[in-house]
Amino acid sequence: MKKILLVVCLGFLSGCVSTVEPWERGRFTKNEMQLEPDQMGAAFKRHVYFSKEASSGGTSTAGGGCGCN
Amino acid sequence: MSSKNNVLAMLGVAATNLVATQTAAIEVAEEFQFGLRHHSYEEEGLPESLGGSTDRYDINVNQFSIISPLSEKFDIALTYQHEKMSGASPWYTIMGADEKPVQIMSGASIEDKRTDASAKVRYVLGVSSFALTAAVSDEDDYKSESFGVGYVRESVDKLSTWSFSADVSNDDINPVDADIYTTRPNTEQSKRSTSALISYSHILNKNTLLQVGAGYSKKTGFLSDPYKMVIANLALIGDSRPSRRYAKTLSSRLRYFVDASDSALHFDYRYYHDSWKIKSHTLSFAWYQNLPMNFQLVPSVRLYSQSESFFYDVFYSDVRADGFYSTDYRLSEYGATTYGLKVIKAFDNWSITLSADKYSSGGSTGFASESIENPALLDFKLVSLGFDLHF
Repeated sequence: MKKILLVVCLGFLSGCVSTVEPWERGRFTKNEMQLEPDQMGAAFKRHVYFSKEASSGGTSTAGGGCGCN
Repeated sequence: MSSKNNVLAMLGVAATNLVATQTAAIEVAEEFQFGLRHHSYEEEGLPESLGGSTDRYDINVNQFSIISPLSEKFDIALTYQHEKMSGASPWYTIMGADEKPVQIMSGASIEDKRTDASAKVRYVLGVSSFALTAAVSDEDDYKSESFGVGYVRESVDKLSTWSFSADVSNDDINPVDADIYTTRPNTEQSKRSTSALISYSHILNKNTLLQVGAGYSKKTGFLSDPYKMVIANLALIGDSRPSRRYAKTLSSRLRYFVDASDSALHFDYRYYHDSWKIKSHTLSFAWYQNLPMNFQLVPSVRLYSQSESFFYDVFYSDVRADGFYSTDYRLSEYGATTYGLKVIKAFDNWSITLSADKYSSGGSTGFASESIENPALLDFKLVSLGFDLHF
């Protein structure tokens, strides 16, 4: 089942991938297309979730701890 | 417009996009950027508690960020954050009438402050960048120092990017009032954390960006909560957790631009698994809608579910052979939902941001199906106001 799922995902992604010329990349310069458009807000929310939930990480390294967790 | 002028106009657009794309790529910051945020975080009180207060934490946070070029190859990013918090905290649980656990809260409102600061220096060389980061966090009873390194490399065609980062943190814990509460350690405790993260991002087509990543972290030392307690074998003892914790994450982030509506869709997913047998799924969705007059509206939703740690219980009827005990709601099985809304108004070289988030959790939310929900599960509201300036 996992192999079938993997093949389906790869097939889906290969259908999405196409050559993107430099002059076609204007959308990626928009702030809303950044991985973190609001880095300060994202950093603070990471801190809140790190304090209030058992899991953390995934998009940044652990950084320093605090007494909140 | 003549056909010649059309061609020139198209070339102009292409050149602008190319320059802009390069700006978004690995380059030294060209402008001075300043950001300020004020966050108001408010936890909802508990419906009931024996002793102590049912009020929980209110936290006010001021957050600053500066990014500045240092030379043609170096830039620096500085952050500073100051938190002021007050409220009561969950202590331990007892079994109430009809086998329903009741939360005991700390006796008085706790007042505390936390300050953290970080500095990151980045060196850019061709299609690569190298970064060094140092950070400190300081509270009355907790001090942390961390150091990190980062390396980012872009492909020559600028369609894909590899990122590696790693850090180490040394923390010292000195619980307050250890002479009054004998469950708290009366000597300094220490904790050491190391983590590493690798990610790969690729422009799939002219509208879609995908990033996938894998992370690993290791924590050793004093990982218990010195302020929480547990009733076990009819005795009140301190929260006690294993001194090692290893965690793995797999994550993906997708960005898709919708030409028809001039909006961007964000899909984020994270899978987390650690050696305390906690597994979690986090799914986030945000819709960045551009509006007239440089307004932007961002509704978002975040779904979170986690399983419980192998030693957690809402109340201990028996003694554990391994000696690990915790009734901390954060180690229980539960799910949570966050609904958010953000408004951004951009001006020439500055912007203002206002956002509100509502977080609610439950033992049967999402994938969670806890038979006895922890009574301290959390709901909170977060309101943020800030502005960004660049010149």
